[in-house]
Amino acid sequence: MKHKWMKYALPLLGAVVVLGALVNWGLRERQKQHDYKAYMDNLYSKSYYELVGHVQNIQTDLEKLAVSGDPEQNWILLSNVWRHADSAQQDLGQLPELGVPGSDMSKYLNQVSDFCQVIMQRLSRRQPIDVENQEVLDTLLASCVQVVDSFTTGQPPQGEEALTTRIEAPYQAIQQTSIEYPHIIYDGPFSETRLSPDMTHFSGDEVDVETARRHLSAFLGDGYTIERGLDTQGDVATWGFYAIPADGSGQFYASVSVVGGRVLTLLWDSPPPQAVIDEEDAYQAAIDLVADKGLRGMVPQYRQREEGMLLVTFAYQQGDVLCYADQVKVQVSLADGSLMGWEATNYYMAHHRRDIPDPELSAEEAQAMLRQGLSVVDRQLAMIPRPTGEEILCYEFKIDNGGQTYLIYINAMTGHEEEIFKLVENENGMLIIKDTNQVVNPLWA
Amino acid sequence: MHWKKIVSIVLICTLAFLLAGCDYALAVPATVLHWGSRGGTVNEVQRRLKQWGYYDGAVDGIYGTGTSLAVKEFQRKNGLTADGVVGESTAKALGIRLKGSSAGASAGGGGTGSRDLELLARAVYAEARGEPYTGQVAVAAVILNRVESPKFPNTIAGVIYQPGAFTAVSDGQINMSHGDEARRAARDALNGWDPSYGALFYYNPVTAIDPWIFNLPIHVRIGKHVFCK
Repeated sequence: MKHKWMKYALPLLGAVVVLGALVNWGLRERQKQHDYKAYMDNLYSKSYYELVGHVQNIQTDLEKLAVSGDPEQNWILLSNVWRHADSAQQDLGQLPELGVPGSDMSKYLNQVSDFCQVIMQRLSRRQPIDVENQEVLDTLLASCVQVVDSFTTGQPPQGEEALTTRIEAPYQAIQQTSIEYPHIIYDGPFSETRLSPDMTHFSGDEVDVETARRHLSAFLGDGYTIERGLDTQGDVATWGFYAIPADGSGQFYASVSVVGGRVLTLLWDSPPPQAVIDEEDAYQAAIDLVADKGLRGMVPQYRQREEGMLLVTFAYQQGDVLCYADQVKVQVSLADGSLMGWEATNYYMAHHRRDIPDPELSAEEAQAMLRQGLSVVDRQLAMIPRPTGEEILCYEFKIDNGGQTYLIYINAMTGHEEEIFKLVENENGMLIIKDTNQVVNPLWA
Repeated sequence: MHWKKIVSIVLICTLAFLLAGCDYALAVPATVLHWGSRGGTVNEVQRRLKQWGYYDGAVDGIYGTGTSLAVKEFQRKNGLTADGVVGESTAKALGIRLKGSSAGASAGGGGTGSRDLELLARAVYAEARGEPYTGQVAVAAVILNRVESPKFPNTIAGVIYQPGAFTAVSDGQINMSHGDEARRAARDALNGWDPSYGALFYYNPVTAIDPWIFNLPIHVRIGKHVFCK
């Protein structure tokens, strides 16, 4: 009897202990998960309420701007709107995906901050807010009022109701909004006109796939097997191919524009080669290659060493003026100097014979506009692209300040300082720093 | 005694001279600039006045009537005695430091670039490892296209970490260490190669669940991913 009881007791006890431990673990995990969720919800709520605050401030400052008549006050209000729009945009980016209404709101906020910057630049050059600017500001304000309204209708329940209803995450209300944002056109990078690429200089007849294949074959020369690849319907329509060199070392992804049948892109789709030759030899090979491909007036700008390859950037020079928008990037093998990569989409979109005006300022006069005490290493005339897509003629001064190199662009017509780039050289090449979040290589890409 | 006195007087004089020299070297122009002055300092005064919209004559280093009038206007706007003469306080207000060295800004390192590159490479590895190399460059290009687009955050980190934007970020795969191939793809995209031709989205048609994404105009299909805008 006693023996029989003992036989079940031990496993039973064990089971109870295991069950107890499991329940305890489960409860702890649930608590932990609950805490994490609350933590995330709180972070989201913080971003949301900050977003609401910033948008309300945008409304107030835009309203004040409509009644302010003093340029200095205008400046302060515009810089406030710009700052709030930028912060609001960042807060929005920290919320979980909000679909199309979310990205529309993001675009609106970016355009608000962008437009304010454009106006501030005008003010700094003593140009007042004109009627057109004011009309854009009015439409931006009208949308802002709608956004603020949508926030207040999406508020969680208050008072008695709040005690009984479980509130949904307030930010989700953004998903239900349907605000008609204005299409605004102005001289800034986020203007409607800039959102689709400008194809005015991309000329030629449409070619069929066989013509495109012949163009690619002529471009690459002998020794490649060309197979059909991936056509694209994107910003530029292209015929796609794979080009396989005879030695079987890999393959190129290649695309040829449907309009004009130009070889836009070559990308080595396989492991990179082993570096054996001297970098200088590869550099010379890249220069020869570009001349060989029939592009005239291309001047090498920057180079960067990569795994098994050397990247060299070329810009078109018309007369003695560098046109930075017409840019071709070439990769050559550090094994034998052969072509490994080609990117000429931007070149073909920008390239045309320009009507370059004579500079109003002489090089000496422009140099006199530089801050005192800088030593000028090099100078050169250049057409530089603005975010608006237009180009301006500048003197590019390469200067040295205490061992640090900069490029300073002085407008050749007005003497305004248009842009400054900081150059940082590392073991692989030269980096150009626009601001801390934007490192570009090559220049003016 | 007599010698000592002379020595101390000489010492004190030297010290006083040195100190005065120091002070002078810090900020104060040695000579006051006025009508008829010439030289590099006048050049700098004219340049600054011109850039701030007070002067529209030539930057020629000759302190003439135009310069003098411009200086007066500048002085009036900045609460200085409007005497048309650039003395200590006017030079300071113009931001001119005559005998001091040029601003000795120290050169910073170039660490910013590689941080973006590493982050982009990790995103590429997490999202597209095992895809054709071209597909990996395209994924990196989509991230960069989003940075450029007003509809998305304006930094690489902002785009990659936007909640819910990339599954491999949401489930933590972003923290895996990437290989050389992903870094190469990220750098090719940063250097301007974009096989997606401006795409803002991509999806795997086999696993995608959001129906709205199927309505977007397709740019290209590379490997398992469909790229669209």
